Amino acid sequence: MGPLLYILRKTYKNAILQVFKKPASLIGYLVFIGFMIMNSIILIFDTAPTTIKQQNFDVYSILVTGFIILSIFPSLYKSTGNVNLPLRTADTHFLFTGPVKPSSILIYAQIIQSLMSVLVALLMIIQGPLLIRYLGLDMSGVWLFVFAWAFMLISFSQICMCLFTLQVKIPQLKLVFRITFFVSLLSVLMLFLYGILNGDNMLKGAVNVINHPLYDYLPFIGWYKVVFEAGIYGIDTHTIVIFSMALLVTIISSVTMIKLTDTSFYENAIGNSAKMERFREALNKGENSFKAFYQRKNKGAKKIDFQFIGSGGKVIRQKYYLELRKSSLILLYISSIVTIIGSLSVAYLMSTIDGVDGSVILSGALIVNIAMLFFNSMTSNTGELGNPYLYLIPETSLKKLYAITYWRGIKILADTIIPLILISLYFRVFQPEILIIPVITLAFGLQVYFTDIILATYIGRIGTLILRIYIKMFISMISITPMIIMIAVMLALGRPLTLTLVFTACLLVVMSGGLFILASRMFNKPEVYN
Amino acid sequence: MLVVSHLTKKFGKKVIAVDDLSFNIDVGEVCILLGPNGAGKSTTIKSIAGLLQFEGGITIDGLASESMEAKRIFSYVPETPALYELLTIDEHIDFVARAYGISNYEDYKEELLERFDLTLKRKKVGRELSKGMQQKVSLCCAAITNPRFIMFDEPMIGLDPKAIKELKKLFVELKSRGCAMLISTHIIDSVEGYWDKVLIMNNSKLVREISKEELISQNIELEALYFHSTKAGE
Repeated sequence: MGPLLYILRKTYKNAILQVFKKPASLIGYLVFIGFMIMNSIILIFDTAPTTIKQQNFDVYSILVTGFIILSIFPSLYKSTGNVNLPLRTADTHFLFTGPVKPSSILIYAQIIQSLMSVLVALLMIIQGPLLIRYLGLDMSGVWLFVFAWAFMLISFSQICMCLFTLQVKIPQLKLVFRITFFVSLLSVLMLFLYGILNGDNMLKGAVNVINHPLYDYLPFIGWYKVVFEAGIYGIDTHTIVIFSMALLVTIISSVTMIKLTDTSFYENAIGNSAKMERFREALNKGENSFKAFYQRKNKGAKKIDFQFIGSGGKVIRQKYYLELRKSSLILLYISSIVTIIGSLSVAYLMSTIDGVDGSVILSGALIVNIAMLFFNSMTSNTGELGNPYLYLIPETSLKKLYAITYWRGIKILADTIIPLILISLYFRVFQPEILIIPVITLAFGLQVYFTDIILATYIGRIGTLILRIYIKMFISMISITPMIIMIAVMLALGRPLTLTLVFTACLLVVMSGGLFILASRMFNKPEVYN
Repeated sequence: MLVVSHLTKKFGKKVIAVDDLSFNIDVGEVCILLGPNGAGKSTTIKSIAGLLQFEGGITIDGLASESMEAKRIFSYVPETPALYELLTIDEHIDFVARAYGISNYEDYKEELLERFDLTLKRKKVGRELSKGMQQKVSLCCAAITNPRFIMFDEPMIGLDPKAIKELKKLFVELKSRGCAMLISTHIIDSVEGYWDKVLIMNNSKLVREISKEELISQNIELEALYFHSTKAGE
């Protein structure tokens, strides 16, 4: 284990030193640390309300249970054919070919996994103020919540790895495991369905199921739920018994995995680490990293007959159109389809509530639509700017940026206009505001995109996705502050909503225009992206 | 030193990347593995390195290739260098030396760093190095273990002329120490003069195995033999 601990020690030491070498990363981390400190201060001074509604506890239990079920079953199923170890290609090269025992490599991987899990769990402290306010938790309760996260992540990675090791040793187990997981999932779903059908409403029905005394003893889903609830209800004998069961299974899994393992997991781990490298590379380039991770390597594309016409920026725009045709469904990206379906679903659900009229349905769908567009804008990337051809094509910077932004703008417009039209037609409702909303979403979406480019151009690229999202959110919030103030003032002065929205749209369009000109200067600094 | 018998590697049920490959390499012998893209060279090397599961048998000095004892005596330089992003050049070599249980390697480390022009960059971390530099570090890490059998997968790619010259010198030194070598390459000219045996793969199979003496006696150029065996020249 000595050489492996050497890698860990040196890696973490150098990681800290490297942060100080890159101003962009340093600023990003400082912003993030500041945010966490601010959050901790709020936690210390925040006090729980004297009375908490029982419904809050029920909602918490349901959310935790839903999350546990959604994380556990896919992971269990995946573990029957795939090993999920946080190993890099350097690990697979040096450790797999070197005289290092496979069990030592597994322990090393589990140490990294555990450190990552603790880090993720610590980030959950962000939820602290919510937990205090809505569940009446004290500081120890918040820490128990953080512990529950860390425990679940660490424990479950051991169990999944153990299952993988077992099915590699005895291949027949693969089918047995898969059938068991499938039947278990079906049973759990049936259990909830039965509860819901027999309850007063969906929430009460589901709560009745998870509050059943035997539910806590169900492997994994019951055990982890009890650990998560310890922060609210405190630690008693029942909690200790259930926690001990989960801990015992985790320890047995770890020991079994270490005892049984051999080199047979290497090939699978290499494939997984190669996928992780693609993910990281895409992240560093600002491309869609999840697509890089999940998309099959060397995947083909639709065959399209296409002829480029014109030159310069026109051709760049046509290239995006060609790519869109090859990768989309009827010119709509998956994210657009999700946004449209999401908005329509909310509209439909709202229509089932008595007394809700068309304008309320439209507003509800619009809120969901804007929220999804906001999320898409936050996680969008500037990957295409890494292509050297963009810098080589003889064209003005403004025209080039217009060409690469054109289809992004069309996408934002389509994401807003399509659900608005469908809802208006279906529910026979028309409000003049819906003509202005697409302009607002378009201007805001482009504003976020241009901000991303400007940030990269002037302070360097930020490799960490989460950090980039935080900074983008922070800057977006600042940039829309004048707009929010203006809306508040106009509404306070009793101005009509339509006029307020027109002013908002105008302000955002002007701001996007200014940012567009600033962002186009990135073509003067090609080294940022190449 | 290396005995490969009936090596077969399948990906899934349909794709056969290496089909019933058998050959051996003796002590101090330099064996060149040639073949067009997709012939199965890298898969063969990765199987020998223990990175892939396979059917058939592979032994290194009589030891099963996946055993700790076998791993202690062989090294592998991959086609794409894979370094730790946050470990310096120095730390990479120290780590490999520790992992292989090698002591008193400092002088040889200094010599290798000097030869591959890495002395001034020794405190740079993996992600700060160019691809060529990374390849040099990979070579140093492989050489520091004083292996008795070493495999190179396209070792010249990304190297500057001086490093190529040093690498060729390293081949000669390793050979003179009795180290057996398996070198996979596309650049036939780069290995002219160093090899003892050549293996030519095409469509997952070994299509030709010939020693240098046989080639000379038949008065055939290696390049001509390659094109003839793979039909790539037609």
